[in-house]
Amino acid sequence: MMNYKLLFDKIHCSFGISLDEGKAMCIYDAQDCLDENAGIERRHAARIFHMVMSKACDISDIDDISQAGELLDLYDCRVCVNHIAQVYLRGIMKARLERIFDGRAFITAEEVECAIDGIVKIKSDVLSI
Amino acid sequence: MSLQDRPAILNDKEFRYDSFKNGKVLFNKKKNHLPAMGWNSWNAFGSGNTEALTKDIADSIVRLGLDKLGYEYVILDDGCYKPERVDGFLANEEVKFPSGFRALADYIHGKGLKFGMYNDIGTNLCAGAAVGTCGHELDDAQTYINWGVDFIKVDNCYYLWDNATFSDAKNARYTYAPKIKSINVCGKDAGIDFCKKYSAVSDGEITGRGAEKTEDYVWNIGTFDGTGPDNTPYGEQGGELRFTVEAPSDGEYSLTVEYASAQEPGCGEWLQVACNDDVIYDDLLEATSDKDTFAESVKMSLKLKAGSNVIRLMNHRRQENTLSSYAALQEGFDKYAPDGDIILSICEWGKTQPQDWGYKVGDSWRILNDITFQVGADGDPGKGNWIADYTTSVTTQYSKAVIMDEYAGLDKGWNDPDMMMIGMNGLDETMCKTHMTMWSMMNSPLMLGLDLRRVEKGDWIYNIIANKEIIALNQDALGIQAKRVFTTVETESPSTDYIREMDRVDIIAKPLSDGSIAISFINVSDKDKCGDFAISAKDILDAIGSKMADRSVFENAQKYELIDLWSGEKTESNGSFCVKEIAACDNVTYRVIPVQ
Repeated sequence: MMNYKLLFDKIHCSFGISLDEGKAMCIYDAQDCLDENAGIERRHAARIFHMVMSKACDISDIDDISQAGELLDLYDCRVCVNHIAQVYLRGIMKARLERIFDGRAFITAEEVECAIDGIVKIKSDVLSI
Repeated sequence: MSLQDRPAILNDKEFRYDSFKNGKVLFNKKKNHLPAMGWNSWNAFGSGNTEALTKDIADSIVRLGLDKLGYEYVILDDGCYKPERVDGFLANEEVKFPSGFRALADYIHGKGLKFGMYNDIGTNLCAGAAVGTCGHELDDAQTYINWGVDFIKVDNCYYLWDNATFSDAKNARYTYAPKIKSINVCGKDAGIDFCKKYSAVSDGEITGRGAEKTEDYVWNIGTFDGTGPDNTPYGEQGGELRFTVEAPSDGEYSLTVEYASAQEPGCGEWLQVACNDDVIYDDLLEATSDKDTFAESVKMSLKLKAGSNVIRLMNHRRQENTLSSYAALQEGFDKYAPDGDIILSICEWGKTQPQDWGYKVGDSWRILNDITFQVGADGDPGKGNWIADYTTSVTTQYSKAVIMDEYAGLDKGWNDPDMMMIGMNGLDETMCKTHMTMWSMMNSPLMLGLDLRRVEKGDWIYNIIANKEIIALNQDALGIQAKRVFTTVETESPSTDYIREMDRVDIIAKPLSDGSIAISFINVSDKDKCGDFAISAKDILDAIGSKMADRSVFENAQKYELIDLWSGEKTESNGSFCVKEIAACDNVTYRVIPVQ
């Protein structure tokens, strides 16, 4: 199962951000560090990936997130609406079922790989402009 | 069962739905507060707020002189606590708030400002930290008092007794009654046993909102969820199924209910039964095997009087549970600081129709879900919308709040259409001006939500948030929310009808303590508008005359002096107030002074 420790390692490996640096940059919340072996809910993964994009990769937010409204459960998570919208609209994380993001389910290792690859690609596109 | 196992038992009828209209507060809640003014961290920094940023904002409030204009509260929203309790108590997140909250409160108080914080009635905060007040209300109240908190905003995430955000969806079991097929009333008549069955569909009467009859049963008995837009707050928001039962004589009777239960919106497990306004049952019923298999309830005893009796089957627990949870915190404030006066900002997003009960424990109540989900961060102003889907725009929040004036007042509290978005991307100067006008006219709390470090005296944002004449409308001592007296959309009752169409001009009017009134012509639309947008002194008297400081002075005025509160221009009128052009999203706002 994908857990926080593995995610921290992958982000360190891919973006050079250590856990302490991630905390200082507000990429990680204190609650992310409570249990490194715990699974990561997709809504929390969306937050972390969004923060990696904006704080570490200079990938600016998509201004109009209205298209993410096609996710039927988008507003179930008031504090992560924008995080989910940004990773969804950029193709970093996809809906699990038709039009359902399923933010309370745990993210899989495959989904993490896919998300990190996606961020790396967008970052390289940004740098090449 | 302990508090954590089930909703509170309501031994005190003051917590019940039937007491919502009695005007009585709970736990010595103090009233007569004008709408709170200040700054809240959420729209500016989201969960990324820090002690350093907060101090910078407090410094900016003083630097800009906003404190002199009434902005006094500096409020930490979500994201500031340690993610778990320490020995059962709340604690500060040590990276973002290294000095602790008492030290931060002292800093803010040292600036002549007041300190506010945030929590939830659930087990966790919306951002996830497992430090919600649920089950800790008294301890947390004491902690907040010890920290020097003057204001507390309390959210509704992870709530145990409703299907709120992040709650278990099955919590709907507590807030909806089961499907009801019939009731059976039994007793004795002249010493002979009798029973009479009443069909829910053919004998029952539905009252209020939501409950529906099918061919076989009545369902959806609960309180309408007000979180989303496009719904009126007026009328009974909870549905009931009522039976008129004829009893041959005074005496003890028994009642059973034929029901089928589930744990989903529309069909729950919790039933309340009242007979002639005495609650005789208020509990879970035993779960049925599935939601389509009906069973007979436990036998309930009741007293009937000879002749007609009304038996009500209902579930008002969505409102009662939520009130009880907020009240528990107020109980703590009253217990540990009976002379204190902490402002309680209820933030359950309009879900439980708090306009009905919020006044009992709170000073304001959110009326909808959030005004924006694209909150800012340090270096990013975030984004707001003028018109948008769902609740996320100035106009959606306004369109509900503007018809809620009858719920507001100094003896009650204030409708809260959420923190302001002035200074966020997506809203231009004109929109922000009208946003400020709307919130001021509606007596909404004026909570700034931008990074004040980027504001300078005299810039356009400053000129909006520091407009003394507009702020004075919000803070007027009479404490009356503006009423909509006219709209260009055809409607039966402009003051109470919810209007979805944003392509419109509204005229709202507000009595003021010096005998003058304020009128705003508001172009809700994002298109320029031309026409005769007019209202007469008589129209105004009909709408708000009874609330004026001195109706006769206004009524008998020979003329009226008009001061445009944005331009400062002065004009006169003989009793007709008219605007012919309003730019997209703009407003024209006058103070109208009667002249004898």
